[in-house]
Amino acid sequence: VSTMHAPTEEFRHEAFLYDDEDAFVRVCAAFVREGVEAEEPTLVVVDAAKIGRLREELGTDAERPTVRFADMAEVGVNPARIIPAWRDFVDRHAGEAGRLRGIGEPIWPERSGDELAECERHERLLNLAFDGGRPWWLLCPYDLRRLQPEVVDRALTSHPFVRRRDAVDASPGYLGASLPEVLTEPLPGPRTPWIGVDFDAASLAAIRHLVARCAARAGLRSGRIGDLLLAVNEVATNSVRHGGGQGRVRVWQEGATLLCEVADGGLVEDPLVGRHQPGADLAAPRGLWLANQLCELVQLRSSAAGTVVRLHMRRP
Amino acid sequence: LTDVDDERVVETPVADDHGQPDRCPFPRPFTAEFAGCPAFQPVAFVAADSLNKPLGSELTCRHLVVGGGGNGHSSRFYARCVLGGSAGRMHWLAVVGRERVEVMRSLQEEFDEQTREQREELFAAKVALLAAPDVVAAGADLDRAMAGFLAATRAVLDEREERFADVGLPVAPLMRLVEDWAQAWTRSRDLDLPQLGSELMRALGRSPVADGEAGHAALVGRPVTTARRVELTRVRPDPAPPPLVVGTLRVERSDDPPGLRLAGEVDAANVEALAELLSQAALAGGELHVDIAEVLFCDLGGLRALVRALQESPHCRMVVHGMPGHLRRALHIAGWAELPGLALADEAMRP
Repeated sequence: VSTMHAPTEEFRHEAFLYDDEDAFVRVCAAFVREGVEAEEPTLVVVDAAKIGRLREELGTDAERPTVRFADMAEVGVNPARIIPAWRDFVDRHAGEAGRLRGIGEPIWPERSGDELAECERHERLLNLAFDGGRPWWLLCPYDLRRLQPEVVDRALTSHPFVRRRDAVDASPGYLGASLPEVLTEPLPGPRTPWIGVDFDAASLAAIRHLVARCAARAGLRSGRIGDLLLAVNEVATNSVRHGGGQGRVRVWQEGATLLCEVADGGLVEDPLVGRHQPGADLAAPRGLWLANQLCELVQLRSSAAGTVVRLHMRRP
Repeated sequence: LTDVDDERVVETPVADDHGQPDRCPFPRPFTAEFAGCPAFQPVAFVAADSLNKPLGSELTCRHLVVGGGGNGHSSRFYARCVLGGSAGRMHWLAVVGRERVEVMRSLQEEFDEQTREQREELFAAKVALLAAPDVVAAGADLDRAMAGFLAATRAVLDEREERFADVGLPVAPLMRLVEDWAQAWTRSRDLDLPQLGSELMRALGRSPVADGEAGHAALVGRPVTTARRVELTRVRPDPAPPPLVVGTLRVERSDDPPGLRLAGEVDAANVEALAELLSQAALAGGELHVDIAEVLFCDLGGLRALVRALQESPHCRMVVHGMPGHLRRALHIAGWAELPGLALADEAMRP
């Protein structure tokens, strides 16, 4: 169990590859208990079933004021909402000495290909978001039996440390926190779009009307159509203001998901864009933040060739 | 408001409406891609010649009726929009909700597509019956066609039950309306083909979707001239200044309570002009009322303009009337939900 101890002065991002649920419960419960003993505030964000098993295993330790649980299905449907949740947890304990602990499992086998791609980007961005800041220790469980091997392989590139059973090693494949390709990696080509329309500031209203028609046709409920219109309008407004004054909207459907893409000639340089909770500053950008809160998934890629933002809305 | 020095702010243009403010200003018949009118609700109908031969399918709008021909300004007939003029259409959209209107439109189109074959059979059977020497046999054909149409309709409704419920239309009563119509139509000599639109319309008029009196009036098509505005003009020695139109946004000033009444859409095309109007109004200090109940869309920039006007004028207290749920949510997500000096009022602004 001594391998549980890690240096306390930095952010430690550790993948935990587990063989079965018993191993998950045993290691995670030990991790939480160590936090309890050291009086380190701990936040566990996994699915509801696993929260139940962990609570059972932890007994009264689960009821300590320093231990909190959150359902990943609520926090992390859109993985871009997870870093702000951790940021909030870290900031709540800003004035305190000592380390914090977290367990976060954003990847499960039912995630779609696009979701997996965004989850993997999220895991990389964690290093960028928290390296050099307040010391805390994040354990990211990966289900070895149920996840595809390549998903696990990629986890080794985004986590500087990897835990297998009770042994912790430095991850040989770790690529570091500075990852320019996080933004430039191209997205897979769209299916045949229902519409492809150019817009500028004067035609935003027409774009909203067209997108609303597509969304209604795709079977989205009226409330979700309203969410999509807010989101696509903000992204298109970014094109008008920062992306060369114009852009192109395409809409298509993949299974039960409606995709709405905004492309323009602008360049986005901050890989964490849309993951900063807006503060009091009125001028601070909020468009992608809003899109991330309203859509199941937001995919952003940007390079010298331009910027593409894809909004995913899932039908019930 | 009138002294705002800004080229983007222009007064309401007076369209040439031939003295008929409720004349539909859009080219007809409509194409399937028509997107010019936000209130457009397509209804497909099959036109027939005097011998009851089908002339093909055309698209009209559920809101259109035949106007004129009476003792008005003109004795000529024209396509009258039951929602009134541009302001009436915007009011209807604001009351029903644009997203709901789009869902209704899509459901109508899906109904038209999914039952086209059955409606054509129904039409043919009715034509045959009206011309038939053997009424019994032709009647049986019509009954068969009607059974097919009703089954297709039921399938369309059942498959989309949740979406119909979303726009306030439980499918069971809707199906009963269609069945009632079917019975009456089978017996009549009328050839008009079944359309879901009129049934949707009638059902909507009774449903909770129509929020209150104004919504009901707008839905059943009473012209939307608000009595209160007429009264204001009559009582005041100076007539109220005409509303300002900035692109898709209309702004009216109110002196009592002091404030602005907005209608239409706020986005990057007009948000700077709106921000200027709001800042000026807030500078006066005291309470400023902003009624956005008839705003169809407002982007984050519009919300930011409200917040900025408030923050720049420390002596101003702002009451925002009629903010819809999704905008409250956006305000919350943007981090502006709990600002000192900002109050949200559910009720509409007093005249």
